[in-house]
Amino acid sequence: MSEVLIEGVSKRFGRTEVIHGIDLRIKEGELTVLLGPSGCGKSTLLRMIAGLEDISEGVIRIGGEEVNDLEPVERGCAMVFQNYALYPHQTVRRNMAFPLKMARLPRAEIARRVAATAKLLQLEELLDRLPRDLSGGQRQRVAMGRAMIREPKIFLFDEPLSNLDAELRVRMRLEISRLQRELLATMVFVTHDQVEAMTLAHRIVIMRAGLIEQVGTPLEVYRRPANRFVAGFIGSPAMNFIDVREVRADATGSQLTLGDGSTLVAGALPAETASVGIRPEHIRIGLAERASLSFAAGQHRSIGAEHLGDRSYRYLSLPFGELTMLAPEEQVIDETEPLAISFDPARLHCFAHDGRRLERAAA
Amino acid sequence: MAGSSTRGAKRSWLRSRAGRRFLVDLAYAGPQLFLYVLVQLLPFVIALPIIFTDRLDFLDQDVAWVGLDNVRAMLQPPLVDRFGDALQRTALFALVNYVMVYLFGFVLALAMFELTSRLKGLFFTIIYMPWMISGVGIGLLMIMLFSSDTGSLNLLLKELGFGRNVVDVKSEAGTLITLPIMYGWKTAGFNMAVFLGGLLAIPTETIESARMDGARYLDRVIHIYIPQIVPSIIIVTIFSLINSFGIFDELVGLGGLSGNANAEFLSVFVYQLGFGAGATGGAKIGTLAQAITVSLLVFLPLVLVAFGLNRLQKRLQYH
Amino acid sequence: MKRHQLVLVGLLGLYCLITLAPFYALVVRAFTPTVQSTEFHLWLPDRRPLSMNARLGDLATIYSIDARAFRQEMGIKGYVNPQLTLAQLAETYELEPERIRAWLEPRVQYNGVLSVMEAGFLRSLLATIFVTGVSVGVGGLLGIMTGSALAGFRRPWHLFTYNLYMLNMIIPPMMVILPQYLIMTKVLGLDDNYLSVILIHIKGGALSTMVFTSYIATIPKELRESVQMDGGRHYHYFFYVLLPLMGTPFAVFASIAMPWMWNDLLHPLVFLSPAKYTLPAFVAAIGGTYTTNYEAIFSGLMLSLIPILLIYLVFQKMFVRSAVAGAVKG
Repeated sequence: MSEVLIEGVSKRFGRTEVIHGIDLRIKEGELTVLLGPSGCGKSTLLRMIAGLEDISEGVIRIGGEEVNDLEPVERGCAMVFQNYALYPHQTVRRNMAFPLKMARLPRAEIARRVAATAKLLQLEELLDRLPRDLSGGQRQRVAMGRAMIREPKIFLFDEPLSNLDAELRVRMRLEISRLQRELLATMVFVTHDQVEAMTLAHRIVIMRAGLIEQVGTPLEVYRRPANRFVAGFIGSPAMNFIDVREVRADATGSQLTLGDGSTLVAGALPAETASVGIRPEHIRIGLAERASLSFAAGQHRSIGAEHLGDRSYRYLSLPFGELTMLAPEEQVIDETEPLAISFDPARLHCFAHDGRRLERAAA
Repeated sequence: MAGSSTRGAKRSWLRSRAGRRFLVDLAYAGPQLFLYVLVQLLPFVIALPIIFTDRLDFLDQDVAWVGLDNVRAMLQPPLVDRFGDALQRTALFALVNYVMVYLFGFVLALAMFELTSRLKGLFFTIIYMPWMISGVGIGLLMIMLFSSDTGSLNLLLKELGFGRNVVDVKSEAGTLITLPIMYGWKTAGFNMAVFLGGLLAIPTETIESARMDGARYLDRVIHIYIPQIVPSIIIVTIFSLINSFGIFDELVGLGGLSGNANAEFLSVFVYQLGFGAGATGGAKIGTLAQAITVSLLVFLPLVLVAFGLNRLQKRLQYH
Repeated sequence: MKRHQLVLVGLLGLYCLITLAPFYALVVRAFTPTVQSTEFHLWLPDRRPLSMNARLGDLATIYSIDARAFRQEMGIKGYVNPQLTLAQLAETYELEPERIRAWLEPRVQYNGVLSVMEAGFLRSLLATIFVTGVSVGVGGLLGIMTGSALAGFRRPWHLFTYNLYMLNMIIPPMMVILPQYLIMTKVLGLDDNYLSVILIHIKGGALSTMVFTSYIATIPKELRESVQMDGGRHYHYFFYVLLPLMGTPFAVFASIAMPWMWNDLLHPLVFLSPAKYTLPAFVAAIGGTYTTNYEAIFSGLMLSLIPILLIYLVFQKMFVRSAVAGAVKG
C-alpha cells in the first residue's frame, strides 16, 4: 500500500503561510505531477511528503499510516533532486550503494543490487567514475539509480529534468515513463513545465499560491479546465480570453455582447458567463465553423507571427482585444482586406466573474 | 499540575522532529560551545565584578568592595605616571603601526596585483614567511638588530661609516620606531594577503572600463580599487587596532617583563599589575582588581569600536 | 608593459631580500660567540680555540657554563676557586688538560646551540608539536561540527551562537587571561597541564566558526537531505559526506591557526611551569636566563624557528592559497 493521503495540510515559514490547507489523494501505482508556476508551493508539498519539511498543520498518510513524525527513510520514499545531490567525492558505485549501506545490507547483496540497477539504467561502464566526470544525463541516471536501488514505495522527483538540454529531457521523460511502467511505482513529480506534465502524468495537480486549482488527467485539465487560471496555464500558446458584457438567450442559442460592443452567436451558454476562452488551435480563418466574427479592413492588425515550419501562430489585435490563433503556414492575413474567423461553439470555455468554470447545459 | 503539564509538553517537543533536530544540532555545536562559554565568556563575566573590589590576587581571602577606587588609583600617584606612559606609548604605537599596515601590506598587495611574473609565488612565500615568527622572536630579533653596540644593523652601519649606534632599541624613540617597522615586517604577508584577496575580488570589468575611460594608475587605485576593498580595509583596521593595543609577546622579547621600562606598554602594565613576579621576572606592582580594571578601561572601548567597524563591514560588502 | 613588469620584479625582489636579511643575520649571530658580538660579521666567524689560560669563572659567566656540572664531571669535590685558570686547575686537581679541554671545548665552540639543548629545547619542541598538533586537529574537528550545525542559520539561535564566536575576535586575550587562569586551576584542576593550553586553543572562535560555517553553507543542502532520504542519520552525513569535503576549509583553518597556536606565548606562560614551556615561552625564558649570552639567546630563537619554517615551506602552497582565499571570505 503506497497511497499518499494529504489531509488539510498547511505550511508556514515563520509567519508567512505558503500552503493553505491542501487535501489531495495520490493513487498507488500512478505518476502524479505537481504543476504550477514558481512559488506556488509544489516543491514544499513534495518536501513535506518526503519528510524534509515539517508539516505545520494537517496530516499526511502513506499507506494509511500517519507519517507526520516519521523520518524520511521510515516513510519509504526516495527522492531525485533537481541538482541530483550526488556525493561529489564518491564514485557512481558508492553513490548508488549508499542507501543500502545505510540500511546495513550485506555486502554481496549490495553488489548484486548495484549491478542490477546499473544494468537497468545502462550505467555499467560508469560505475567507477566520480560524479564530476559524468555528463548531465549520466548524473541524472545515477541519481535515479540511487533512488531506485532501495526499492522504495514512493519516488519523489523535484524538477529532475530542468538542468538538462531539450533533447536529453525528452529521452529522460521516456525513460521515467518506462521505469514507472516496469516498476509499477507510485511517483510524484514536481515541475513547472507543462509539456513534461502532460506527457508524463497519469494525473496532474495544478497548484497556485499554495492552493490546488485542479486535479485531473492531462486530457481533463486540457479539455475541462476548472477555472480561468488552469485554462490559461495549460496549453501553449495560452488560451484566448474574451470578456463578455452580456449574454442574451434566444431560441437559436446565446448572443454574446463582447467588450467592444460587437456580438457573437454561439450555442446555449450559461447566463452568468463573464468571459469565454478559446484555444488558438481551435480557431479557423474564414467562415468554416458555426460561430464567427468578421472584421472590416483596418479593424484587424497583425502584431506578430511565430513560424514553426508546418504551421504558425498569428498574433492579432482585434477591436475586443488581442487574439492568438493557429494557422497553416501558407495562410496570408492581409490587413487591407476584411477578415473572418470562426470556431466550433462547443470549443468555447465559459468562466464566471470569479474565474470559475461554468458548465454548459447538455445540448 | 500546571508545572507537570508544561514539562510534559516540553518532553514531547523534544521528541518531535523539530525537537530531535534541535538535539542533533546541539550535539554537534554543543561541545565547542560549552568550552567556549566556560573558558572565554565565563571569564569575561567573572572579571566584571572584581573591578569594584580590592582583590589582590586569586588567592586573596580578604576581599572588600571599594567602588571605583581602582579607577581612581590609576589616576593618582604612584600609578598614574606608569599608566599614562604606557597608554601614551601604546596609542602612539597603534598609530604608527596602522601607517605601517599600508606602507607594507597595501603597497605590496598593489605590486603583487599588477605582477604577472612567475616569480609571484616565490615572492609571496618569502613575504609571508615572517608571519611564522613568534612575537617573542620579533622582540629578540629587534634586540639582535638594533641594540646599541651589539645590534647587527648598528654594526653594519658603523662598518659602512654611518657612525656608531645609529639606533638604540631600548631608548624611548628607538622602541617606537623599530617596533612598528619589525611588526610591519612580520605582518606584511598577512596584510598583503587580505588586501590582495580584496583586490582579486574586484570585478575586472570595472577596472577595464576605468581604463577605457582613461583613468591613470593612481586614479584607478583611488577611485576603483580602494572603494571596492573597503571590507578588506576594515578587516585590516580591526586586526591592527586590536593587535596594537594587545601587543605583548614582542615586548616580552624586548625585555618588557625584565626591566626595560620603554617596553612597558599597556598589556605589560596589566601583566605587571596582575601577575607581576612571574617566572619571567619583574615585580608585582598592583592588585589583580586593578589589572582587570585597566583591561576593561582600555579594551572595552576597543571592543565597541571593533564591533562597530565589523557591522560597517557587513554593510559595505558589495559582492 | 614589459619594463613596468621588470621594475615590479626588481622592487619586489629587493623587498624579499630585505625580508630574508634578518633570517640570515640570525643564523650568523646564532654562531657568533658572545665575546665577538660587538664586531660585524658577514659570515660565521672563526672560533677562537679554548685557551688554557682562561679563568673558569669567566668561562662560566660568558658561556653560561654550569660550574657544578664541571666539578662533577671532573670529580672535584668542594669549592673551586673561579679565579683559577684552566691550566692552574689541571695542576691543582691533577687533571689531564686534555680532559678539561674535551669537556669544555664543545661548550665553548658551539656554545649557543649546546646551551639551548641543555636547557631543554627538544622537550619544549615536542611539547609544542603535541599542543599545536592536538589543537589544530581537535580544534578543526570541533569547528567542523559547529559549522555543520550552524551552517545556513536555520534557527535564530544558530545566528546568535555564530555571533557569540565572532565576539571572540575582539576580546583581547589579556582581558580574560586572569579569570581563565582561575577556571583552569580551580574548576578544572588543570594546574600546570598542557590540556589547559589546548582547551584555550580549541575553544572555538571567529576563525574556525567563520571558515567552516561559511564553507559548509556552500555545500548544497540537497546532499544532507539526500542522506536523510537514504536513511542516514546526521552522523552518517557528517562522516561520509561532510568530512571528506572539508579539505579546503581545513587547510584554510590550519594554515592560519597553526602559527597562532604554535607561537602563543601568553597562555603557556601563565598556565604552565617553566619546565613545561612551549617554544615561545621557552625562548622568552632563555632570554630571561641568559640575559647577556647573546649566542645562546639567538641560537634558541633560530632553533625554535627552524621547525615552523620547515612546516611552512613544506606546505607553502597551501598557506599562500589559504591566506588569499581566507581573506576573501572574511
